[in-house]
Amino acid sequence: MAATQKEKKMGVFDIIGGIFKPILIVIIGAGVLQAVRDVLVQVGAISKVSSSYIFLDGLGNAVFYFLPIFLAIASAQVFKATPFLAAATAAFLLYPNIVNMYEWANNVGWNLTLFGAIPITYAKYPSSVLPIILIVFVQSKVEPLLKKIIPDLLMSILFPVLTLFITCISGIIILGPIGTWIGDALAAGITWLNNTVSWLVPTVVGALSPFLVITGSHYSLFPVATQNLAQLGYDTVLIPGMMASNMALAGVSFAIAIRSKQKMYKSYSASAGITSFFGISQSSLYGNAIPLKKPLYASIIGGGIGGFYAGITAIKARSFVTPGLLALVGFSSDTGNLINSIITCVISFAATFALTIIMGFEEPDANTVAELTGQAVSEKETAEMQKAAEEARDAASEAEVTAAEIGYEADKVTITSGATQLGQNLGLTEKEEQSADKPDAKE
Amino acid sequence: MKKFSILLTVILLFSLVGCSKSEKKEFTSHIPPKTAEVGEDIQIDETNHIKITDVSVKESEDSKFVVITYDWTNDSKKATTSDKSFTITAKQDDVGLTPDLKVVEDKKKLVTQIDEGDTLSGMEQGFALRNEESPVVLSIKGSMFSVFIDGKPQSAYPVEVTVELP
Repeated sequence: MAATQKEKKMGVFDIIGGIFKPILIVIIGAGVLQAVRDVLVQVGAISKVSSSYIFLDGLGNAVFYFLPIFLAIASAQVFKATPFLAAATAAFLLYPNIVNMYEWANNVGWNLTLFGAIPITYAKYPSSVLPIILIVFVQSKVEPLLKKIIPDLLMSILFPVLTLFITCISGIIILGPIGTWIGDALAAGITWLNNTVSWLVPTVVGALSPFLVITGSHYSLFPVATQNLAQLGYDTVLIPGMMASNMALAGVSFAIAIRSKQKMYKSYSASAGITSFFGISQSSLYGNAIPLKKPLYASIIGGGIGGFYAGITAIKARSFVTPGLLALVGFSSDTGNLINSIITCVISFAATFALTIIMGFEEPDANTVAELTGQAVSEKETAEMQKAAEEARDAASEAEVTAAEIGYEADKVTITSGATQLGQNLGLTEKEEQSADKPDAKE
Repeated sequence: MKKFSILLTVILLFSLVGCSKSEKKEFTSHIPPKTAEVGEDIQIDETNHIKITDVSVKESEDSKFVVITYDWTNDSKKATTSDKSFTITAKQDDVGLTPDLKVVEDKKKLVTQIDEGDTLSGMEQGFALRNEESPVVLSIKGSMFSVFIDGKPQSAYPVEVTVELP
């Protein structure tokens, strides 16, 4: 019962944090490899069309491309659904023929339908976060229903078939496009804002980037940025704001790396901070900001302040780059623009760093850190956990003994009263004894 | 253990850098033209040819659309459909045009499978126009990932065809 109440109290961020915890180890590894790839390209060690680039790019990008599969398994553990059925649904969304069909339909304006009648909205599933979490949540509700209605004899066949069919189909019809719909509305809003009060756009993007990334809505802003680059030769909508946000998340991670009391978490946070500097901020977002909450608020404020500076100085990104320190090359068209871009980075980083230190944060427990970092729990922690388990076992045994004693007493009373009743029925017990008892009972 | 980790990292980095510079074998590929004209047979990659035969403007629901009519030849060794072979997108004043098939007469041709060596004529695609003055620039991209120019790999690029509106 207590567990159920706790589950009910779980907020959206607790759920997202819980889902991301086990996969952050993969995200940080891939993030660092992406940063290495970018550095090697920048220094001219590898060419963008060489096989080395493709391999290295694959090492870093594959994790993000197939992120829905990792998320499906982790979400299934959180929502208590069948992990491999969830992974199968994610694999369906990322199946090359399906991904290509979506892209092609989007390019030629073809309206995709299912069975010729049900419209399918365009969505970009590789690297997406929200659709698969929603789909697995629905799966966790569908599975118990199916278990109730399917006869035991057919369970092994019908259960996976119906679960997959229902979750995959509801996924592509309703749940999957949610991110697209939110993103389209957001893109319309941002475009309007850009035409009305353009300096405010980087502020909004700088502050809200974490949420854009979670919902996958940032993809909807790509066409706006691309159009700006093509038409005006620069972008002020997406890249400046996202750079401020990434620097803010780097600030969060480094503040935690300094303030945390746990060695492993310090190390994790420092790595996350470095990758955020290179514009790959998932480790900071899902490993630091979201699980600890207060740092998330700090990053929103810090990213917003940095974005505000980017907005009032109207910094311009001249190329479409990963919004990190290496992206500064894309801001170097003139010295003033470059200096303001560097100031944006410094403000975002410093403000968030200071805010994270001032606002403080609750240290994650040892198990959470072990999960985040993919490290085995230390001997001391293992001993503590064993001790706690032994205490719990002892308490359980004591409770069992007490329960047995109570049961024994109850049995004794029942037998005695049964014997008395039997004695009365057979006339072996005198009635006077009963009537003599009555006044006592009244008293 | 620390030394071993450092050594492993260094070897990994050297091998990555080394690999990129050891590709001495000369590779060749079809090099598509950067631009082409309406009515010209354009070989966009190793196996696909496109020939734009007509450009027209049509009106629907108070909006104007440009309709591109073209022939597609599949020179590969297997039957295939257009969606697996090439993409045609359009821009006007450097802004991407929204594709729309409501003004297209037979859109099923876009998903019709043709055999190796066959040509599918009269394929159509439509795009919502921004205005009726500026020319439309079509980008036709084949299925190649990269092209080899002078033995060096470069990212594949689309063939651009500029069409004046009738």
